[in-house]
Amino acid sequence: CDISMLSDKSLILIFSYINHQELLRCSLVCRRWYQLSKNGRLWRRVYLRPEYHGVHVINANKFLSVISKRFTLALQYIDLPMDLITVDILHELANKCPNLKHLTLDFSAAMQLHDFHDLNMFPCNLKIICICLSDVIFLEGFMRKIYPYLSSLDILHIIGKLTF
Amino acid sequence: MATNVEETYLYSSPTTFKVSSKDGEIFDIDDSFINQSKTIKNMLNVLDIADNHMPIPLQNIKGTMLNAAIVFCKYHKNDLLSIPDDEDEDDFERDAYEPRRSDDISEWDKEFIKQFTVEEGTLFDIIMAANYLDIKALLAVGCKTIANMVRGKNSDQVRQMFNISYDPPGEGLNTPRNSVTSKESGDNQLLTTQEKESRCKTPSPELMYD
Repeated sequence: CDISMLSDKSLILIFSYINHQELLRCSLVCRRWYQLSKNGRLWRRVYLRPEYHGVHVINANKFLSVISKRFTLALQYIDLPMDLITVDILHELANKCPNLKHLTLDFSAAMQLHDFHDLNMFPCNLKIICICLSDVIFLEGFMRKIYPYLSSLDILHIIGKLTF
Repeated sequence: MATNVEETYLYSSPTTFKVSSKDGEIFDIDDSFINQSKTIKNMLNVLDIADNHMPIPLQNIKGTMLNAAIVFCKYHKNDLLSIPDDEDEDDFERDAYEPRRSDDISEWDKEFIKQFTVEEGTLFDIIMAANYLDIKALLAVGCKTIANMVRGKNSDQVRQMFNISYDPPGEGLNTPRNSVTSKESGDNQLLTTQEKESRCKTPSPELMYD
């Protein structure tokens, strides 16, 4: 008996215990693993904050293509560290991931913000948004920008110190 | 008085059944097994077996695996059966902030699973048995063990470890093959077969998250 005898369900369960970086590596093993690695169940929740056991994304451009290829309809939860909170990534999430319901934006390590002047799309089916504030920068402008997209929201969760 | 009541309860309740394996071995199973194996539970509900001396045939499972599953269930009989049914539910709030982990196998389970190996293929046998019997906790231990083996290895090493022959995932993939974008994007879905093959043969740290 070898690993190829395992059912799809069992292999997907195995894949559910490894992180997305390893999952993408496993998708190169053989054709069957490649197909199974695309299963929507594996891409529902995506964790990208290294300090919370998430995967560390270094190349934000490559990451953009993964949003449109893998996350798509499956994605329901994602957390983004400060360096991935960009106009491009937020636009891509808004366009490609209509089932995204729970978004965490972690600005806690931010010393300065990306420019959100061009932000004109934002995930608009969110039920929960969690925003981790930075101690040193104000998010007022950003909050003003995203406010119109939050009408479906049930919970607004803000972590950190509000400074006025 | 109280002990008496308890005793009566204990002695009146045990229901044991017999099951037989693929290779004809017969085992007694009790509540600990029936409660954890959804397959058996369903069978008993449907079959409504009055005569519990006739063994229930489990044609897919070898005796050694069945025995191991029974031992596992006996040990875990007092565990809360709280393992969520499936990931399919819409309950997106459930541990939404924490990735699933596989470093939480208990010491007993670690020792238990050590008797099964990749080389002999028994690790896959026990996972298949757990899958067939629908014993969530046992399936989880087996799958976590494999996940832990895969972690940190490149695709070449994974193929080697599990003796998987490389089967180039070229044709049959409905992915765009745009040679202009493939250079830029680096997402493995955009690679051509040749590129993929060459990448698979060398350690591939160039995936999107790296």
